Amino acid sequence: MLTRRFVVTALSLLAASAWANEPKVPVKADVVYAATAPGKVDPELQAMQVKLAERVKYGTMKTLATRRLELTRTPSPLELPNKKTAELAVESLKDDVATVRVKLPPAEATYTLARGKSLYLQGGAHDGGDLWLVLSMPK
Amino acid sequence: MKNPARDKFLPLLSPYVDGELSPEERQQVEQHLANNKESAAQVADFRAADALMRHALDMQGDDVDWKAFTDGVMAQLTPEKLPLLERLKLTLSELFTYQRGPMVAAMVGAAAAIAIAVPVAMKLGAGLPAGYGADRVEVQTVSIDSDSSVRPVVMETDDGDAVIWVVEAADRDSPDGGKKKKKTGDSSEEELNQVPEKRQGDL
Repeated sequence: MLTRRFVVTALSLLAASAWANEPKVPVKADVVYAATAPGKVDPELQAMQVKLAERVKYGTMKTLATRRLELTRTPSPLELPNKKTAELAVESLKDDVATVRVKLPPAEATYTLARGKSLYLQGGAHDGGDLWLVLSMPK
Repeated sequence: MKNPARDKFLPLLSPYVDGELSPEERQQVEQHLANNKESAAQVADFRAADALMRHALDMQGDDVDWKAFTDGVMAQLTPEKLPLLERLKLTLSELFTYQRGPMVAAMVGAAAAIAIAVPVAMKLGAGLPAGYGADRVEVQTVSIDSDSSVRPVVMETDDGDAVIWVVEAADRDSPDGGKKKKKTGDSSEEELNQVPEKRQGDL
């Protein structure tokens, strides 16, 4: 009985230690709805509107959801309103720079995180417009 | 001249003045006093003496400083407050005496929590969230499911952001299409062919 307790305790401590050693990379994920129809653009999305205007001039943009994720090597799912599920995971950590793998069918990409910068990933059609997944480092 | 009635009631006169008699005795004494002037005079003397004595005691009481007396009584009623360390020792002593099991379990739990929390906090506190970030977003690989009819278009802006468009493959012939096109403006744009294998999209 005592031996079993000791083994369980040791395993718990080992698991906790392994969890503590696994890198956790914080990422802010915004789900943005954008449509070309004239409408309202959220003030915080005006910079994004300008960036995307090289290909599509969106007239309506609003943030549908914002989540803060703690990424590990195990993929973290993120449900989008158009029934798609994005998966984000830490691909690697090199020189204190995290490379993140983001899978949003049909696309999959790896990219390096940057302080104060964002990755905009088109997430498919939704409600007459497009969904965008905006990934950045939380402030 | 001997008065047997007065002899009988004489021991009751002082208790009568002090209000210590029963109603029946009091009634008997009052009947006696109505008929005996000598006893009535003695009762009047007792009352006068009581009044004088009460007055004298009141005057003496006013002259006494009762503050020291009050302080002395309160000092005996309120024990001196123990120092914090002594109180903690006393509390722990009582807890270990009467709640030994829960206290030992709580201490073991706290020790285990500290043993886990310290390395976790050190790990989490090292370099986050300032770390893990470069100066600009760099898209390293992009791939598209092999059975998909779309293709990715990657655009990295001069200010360090990156945009990944997913466009219909038919857009390849559009005016802004083309492979590995670099713009001279404030952004660079690079188009990728549809790649069946994930790593083939490396930029």
